[in-house]
Amino acid sequence: MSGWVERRDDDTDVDHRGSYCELEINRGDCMSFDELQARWQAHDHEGQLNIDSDALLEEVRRNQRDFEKRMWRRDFGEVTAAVLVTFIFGTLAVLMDQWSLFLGAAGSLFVSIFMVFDRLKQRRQRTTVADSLPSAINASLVQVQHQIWLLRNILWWYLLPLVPGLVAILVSTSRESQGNGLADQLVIAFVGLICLLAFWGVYWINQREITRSLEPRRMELEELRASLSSGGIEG
Amino acid sequence: MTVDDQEAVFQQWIRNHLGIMVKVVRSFADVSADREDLLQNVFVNPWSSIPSFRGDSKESTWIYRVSLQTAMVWRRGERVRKKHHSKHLNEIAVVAQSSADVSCQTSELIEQLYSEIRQLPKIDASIALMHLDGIAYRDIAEVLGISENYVGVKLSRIRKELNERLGGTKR
Repeated sequence: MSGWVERRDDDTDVDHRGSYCELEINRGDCMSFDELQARWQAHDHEGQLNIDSDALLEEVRRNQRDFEKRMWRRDFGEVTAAVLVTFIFGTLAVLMDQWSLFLGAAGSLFVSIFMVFDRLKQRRQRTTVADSLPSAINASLVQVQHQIWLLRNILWWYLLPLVPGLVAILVSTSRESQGNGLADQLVIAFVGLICLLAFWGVYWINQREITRSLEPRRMELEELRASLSSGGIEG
Repeated sequence: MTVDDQEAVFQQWIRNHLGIMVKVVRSFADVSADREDLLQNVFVNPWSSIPSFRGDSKESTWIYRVSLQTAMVWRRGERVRKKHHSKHLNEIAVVAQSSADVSCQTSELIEQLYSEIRQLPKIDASIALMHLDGIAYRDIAEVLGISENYVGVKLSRIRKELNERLGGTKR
């Protein structure tokens, strides 16, 4: 292996063959990269790691099943909650024949439909482990970007559609209880304030999640993708 | 492919290529809890990838590809949010812990190398790891989806950087 030694400002020599002097100070000589590579390859990296492959296989399968169940439960839970609210509003609206409840049902129906479509679309776009590395990074990036989009626009697809129904219910309740005195009106106003705070809280938590977690993740993945792109993606 | 075939292949891969998975984990995670988490993920993905493996590339290259893919998109600390780890997965984590313990017994040279690899950007760490393992440029390029020339360019930079980081300024 040929190499050269250059003089640096700090008066130390740099061996461009790739020497690893600090590692071999006791021997008083430097190690070439080939030697380092040979040591790396000769080293027992697994050490005392003994794995019962049957037990591991069972765990891996269990893990995969759990993951799929978890994803299914999450999607099912979110959609079911929205459908349930729609159903409750719808049933009350039919039973009580109140336009404000119909408006509430329509708002939560919109949210339910949006969530179902979004989940179905995301499931179709899910990547497989056999995809190339650039594809896997792209898929992760698309997921994160979509999550950011969802949370950033939560006001439009989740909060605002519920507002007309909620306002209508509060207004109609307020009108109906006009003869019952100030206390009832104050209670209704208090409920309205609690709803407003809850909506603001949901919005704030989601925007914080974007800043704290999703944006750094997106930047990290974009950096990864850029470092692969500059090398001419083949896969 | 039948489930029995998939199981047989998985067990063979674990027997023959466990070292690759361990090296990937140790190159991307330094804290024992992170290693446990990453190791669990690294074990699952080769299993899922078996039906897609057609033998066009070497097994070792495939395992590298799947393991590195997992490590690249894995996020340190994400384990904190996972509350659904089963009891059995925690038992596997004990195995991962023993891997971390072993690292204390390995030579200083290898530990120092792992430590330096972990400081590199993820793509560079992957290239360094495969290069140290003697994987051909073509296979490294295939695993990462980049050109062979770029692997060469990257490697010369990585070797120089490792040299500097490991204190190769004395002679």
